[in-house]
Order: sequence, then C-alpha cells, then structure tokens
Amino acid sequence: MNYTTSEKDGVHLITCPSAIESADAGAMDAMVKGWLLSSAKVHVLDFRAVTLFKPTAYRTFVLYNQALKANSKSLFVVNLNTEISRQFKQDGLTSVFVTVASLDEALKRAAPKTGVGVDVEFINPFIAAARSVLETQAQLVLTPGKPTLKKPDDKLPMEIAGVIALSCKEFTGSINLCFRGETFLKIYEGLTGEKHDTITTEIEDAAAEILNIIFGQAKTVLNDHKGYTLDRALPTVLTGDRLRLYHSSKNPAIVIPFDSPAGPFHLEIVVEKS
Amino acid sequence: MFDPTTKVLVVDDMMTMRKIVVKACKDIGFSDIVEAADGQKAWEALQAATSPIGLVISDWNMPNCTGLDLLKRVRSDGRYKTLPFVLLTAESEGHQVAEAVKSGVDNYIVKPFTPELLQRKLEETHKKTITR
Repeated sequence: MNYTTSEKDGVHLITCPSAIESADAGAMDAMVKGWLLSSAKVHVLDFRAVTLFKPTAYRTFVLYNQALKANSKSLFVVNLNTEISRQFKQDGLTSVFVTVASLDEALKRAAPKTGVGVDVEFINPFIAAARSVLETQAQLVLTPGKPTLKKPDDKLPMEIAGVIALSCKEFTGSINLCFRGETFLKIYEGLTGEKHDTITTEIEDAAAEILNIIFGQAKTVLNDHKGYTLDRALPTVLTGDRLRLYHSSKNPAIVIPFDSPAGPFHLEIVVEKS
Repeated sequence: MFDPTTKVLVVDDMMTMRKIVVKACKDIGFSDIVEAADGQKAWEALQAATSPIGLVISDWNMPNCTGLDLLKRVRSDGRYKTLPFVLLTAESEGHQVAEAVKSGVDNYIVKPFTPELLQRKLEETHKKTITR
C-alpha cells in the first residue's frame, strides 16, 4: 500500500498506488478511517498510477463512499484508465467511482443543486438508458428522435404503457413508456425468445420491467452524478386498444420518440415542481 | 463454476424478468430451476425444497418482501448462512450496493445484463463461496 494524501481548496486528494488490492483489509480500513477525518466536502481518488484494481478491494471503497455520503460529502475519481473504467462499468460500480476530468469539475458536481426541471440534463439519461437497455436485453439498436412537447389534442397511438410515478424533493410527475401492440410483441420476442400474437396478462409486465430498468439506470445517473434525489418507485402497466394518456399537470409532457427494428415507440415525461 | 445439477432459485415479481433469467441460466447449463414471485414466496420455496437449493438469484425491488429483506432473512438463519446469494438490481447507487455488501450478498448484477455477464458473475460467486 502506498497511498499519499493532500488537501487543497476544499478537496481531499488521495493519490493511489499502481495496484489496489485488499491484501491487508485491517490496514486498508484504518487508512480509510484516516481519510474520513478530513473536513473536506469533496474527496478525490487520483488513479493516474493505477493499473490493477482487484474486485476484492471494492468493499473498502464502497463503504468509504457510503460513509462520505452519510456526511453529505462526495467521492470522485480522476485520471482513470480505459481498462479500469470498463471494469467498473461491467461491475456496476460507476456510481461508486464517479469519474471527473479535474478537481474543478469535482467541486462543481458536488455543489448543491438549484432549480430542477425537465431539460436536456434531465432527459438525456433516460434516452441513454433506453438505448442501453433495449440493446443489451433485447438486441435492438434504437434511434432516438427529437423530443417534442405533447399538445392536448395529440393522439399518439399506443396499446400498452409502463408507468412510473416520479417523486423527489424538487418535483413530482411520471415517466411513461408507450408501445403499439405490434412493436411491443416484437420487443417481447427479443427479450425472452417467445413469440406471441396478442398482448396477454402473461406478457404485459414486460412494459413495466423495461421501464423499471430504464428508470433505474437514469435514476443512478441523475442522483449520483447530477444532484437529483429521485425516490425508488414500482412501475405499473396500462393496456387498451386505443389507450391515451392524460396528465393532470399544468406542464405539457415531453415526448421522446424512438425508432427501432421492432417499430417505433416513445417515452413521455411530465413533471411539476413540488 | 457451479455444478450444472445445482438447484437454482430465481426470484422476481416480474414474470418477464424471471423468464429472461431462467433462459440465461438454462443457456449456462442449469436445468433444476425453481421460481418465486417475491421474497416471501422465495423463503417458503427454500423451506419446502425437497433437495437443497444451492444458489439464489433474486431481484431487489419487489413488493411485500424485497430481495434485501430476503437476503437478511437468509443470512440470519443458520441453515442458509453460506448459501450463495446474488442480487439483481435495476439500480446501482453506491449506498444500495454498500447496503447489500453489508448484509452479506455474494455478488450483484445490474440490469440490463447479457447471459455472458450472468455467467461471469456466477463464476465469481462460485470462486468466492466454494471455500466457506
């Protein structure tokens, strides 16, 4: 172990050795306890020298991150190489090791959020998550279209929709993933390998599950990287031959269209400030 | 890797996700797979199993009894203290991962996942749990 620490401009900087492993868990825990004594709000791990990060050492850093968060502090990583970045992504640790380009960016990211609404910063994680989820789980490459505002008389064709109520300190609202029947059945086939001719109760939960995974991914990015405080939520499903969604919000819904080899579908997001 | 005859318990409230996980398990080589729709039903399936369950793959976010509740229940019962337990989650927020690690999870998989990722995670889990 050869970690060095320094403190400047409210940042506790930890320069890591080339190999991070948990050869001596007791010594690691004692060292982390020392780091936690720093009053700096922002802690940054400098990975410039790191070429090996053994998964057995994850626990120490996950608990370090948790302890910082419990005290309203943040942990970031700078100078992460692409191989370890890929490793963290595969192991679902991008929210523990949040990468930034500089110490300035770490300070900016950690600053408290003011004024939250539906903007590009809020929408983009949902678009990215939809692409990633459908490509990984159903082998479908999506082409997102231009987001538009939904007009009261817009009739967007759909027969099934997954719905999640959004709730956080700053606003309430909902996110809705809407499919035509034909598109949904093709996506279902991509997910499970099963062919169905009609939407039945046996398969309709797929609309909720796809949305659940999209929401989970977007929520991680928004909460851990953008300062939002979205709560966990359980999805529901709406079905009907000529299904229409009406939102009891003063704000119009944002419609994000997607094209895919299974057919077109769209996301509707509506929020209202609390 | 786990012996293909290992009995696997797949827990998810969403039937579609159970189908995806079961299919991936079969692709890996498992054939003895039981399913449960929430943590409570999974707990009942563990008690009722005529041959012991050797691996649990459970969703996290479920009504009634979550995957984390099930994990805590399993780890507090002497009979299942060493039962390999993998959590599937749609969220990877740091504090949640930490909570699962503290509660004794052996591994976790963030959705979406490919069968290859599931296989790799199960191989890791087997290596980790075989010595205890």
